[in-house]
Amino acid sequence: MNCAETKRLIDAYVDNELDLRGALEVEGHVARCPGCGADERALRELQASAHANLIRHAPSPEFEARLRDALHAEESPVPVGSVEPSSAPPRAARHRRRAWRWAALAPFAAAAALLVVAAPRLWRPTSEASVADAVIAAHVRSLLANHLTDVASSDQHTVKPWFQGKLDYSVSVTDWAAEGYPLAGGRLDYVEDTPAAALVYRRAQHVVNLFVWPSKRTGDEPLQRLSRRGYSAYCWAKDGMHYWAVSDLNEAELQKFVELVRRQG
Amino acid sequence: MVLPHMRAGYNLARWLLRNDHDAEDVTQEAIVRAFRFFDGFTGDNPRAWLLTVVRNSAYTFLQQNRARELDTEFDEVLHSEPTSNGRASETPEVLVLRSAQQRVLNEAVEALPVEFREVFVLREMEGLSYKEIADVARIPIGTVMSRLSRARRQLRAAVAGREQAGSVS
Repeated sequence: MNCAETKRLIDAYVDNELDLRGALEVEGHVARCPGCGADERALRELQASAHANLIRHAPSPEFEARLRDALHAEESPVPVGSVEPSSAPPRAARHRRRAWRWAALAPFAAAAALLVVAAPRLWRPTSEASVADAVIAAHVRSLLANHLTDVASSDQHTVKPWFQGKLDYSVSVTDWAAEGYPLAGGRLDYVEDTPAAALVYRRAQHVVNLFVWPSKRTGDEPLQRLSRRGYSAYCWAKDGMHYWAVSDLNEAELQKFVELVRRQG
Repeated sequence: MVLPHMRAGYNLARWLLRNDHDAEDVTQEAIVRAFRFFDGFTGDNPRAWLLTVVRNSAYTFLQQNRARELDTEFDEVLHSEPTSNGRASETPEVLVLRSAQQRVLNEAVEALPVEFREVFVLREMEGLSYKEIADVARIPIGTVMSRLSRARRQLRAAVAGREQAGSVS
């Protein structure tokens, strides 16, 4: 990699947006080239300065109150009870129906409006998001460090016992070779400091990591899909276990895999 | 539910429009619209979705009221000057600015053309990935990368220039 290419990629490099090969090449060049090295440091300084110094403009309390009123108006365009049924023309009747609809929603909407004003931090997408980051990072690491499997085997009867004694829970392992997703092996991984079983499947040139670990929450959680940096992930919880399937496979093929796994249990 | 992301939406609107009053109008319009059409939202990232709604409202506002700002030839000289219509120097936040560096950086970001400012704010303040920024701003990922890179180069030059000017005077 030369200086011109590095110049083009260095922002993506400091933002952790490069694929592994690109990142390694930029890293190598930056370590050797004083000019590009200085560039990298200046970029990181700017980034740190932006994080520390940019003003986060907060809405004023008056504005939040106005917004709450506006949302209330959305909830109930016509106050319930103000419509006179006796002489209601069609338009008022329509309004009344709308009012009913909104009245039914009102408790939910009022709670939502309260959330805006009172407790925006109660909403915690970050915990889910940070698990997603951790799982995808684990997926990327497994590809990067050439440490895809601790036990390389397409035999589920080899992989499953391997986990016993390493994890204090049992993981069901199925080879989906007949369906086009052959088992490549298993690996012990960590997601947010929790030991997780990583089952590794292959699909053509792609790798699917299926992470399984015990859920701290009770109850099943519905299937969710998210994507980050070109990787897709599906997660769900069932029978006390978290499942995360991560891959750079296309959407449809990963979804098919997820359906296979979900059907087995 | 999208509503708790209102503050992120307001911050974005405020950075795109550069004054409180317009930011409030645009945020309110966007939030009410988002609230009305929330049923139509099926994605997995409500925060990015709300930022998209706010961003689109802000651009509509600019088109209708300040089309000149969307006319963005990236003029290195023009855009390194602090804006005259930015009200940063009047806001209460400015009174508590801790350092000259903070003021210089904020003014330099305000002086960026809006497309560059938007990418920079989404990246550094909201922590969005390039893909997410591409979705919010409806531009290709390559454009996200090049705009971010140019914005940062401009900011570095502005900050370095001010520091020099400061040391001379």
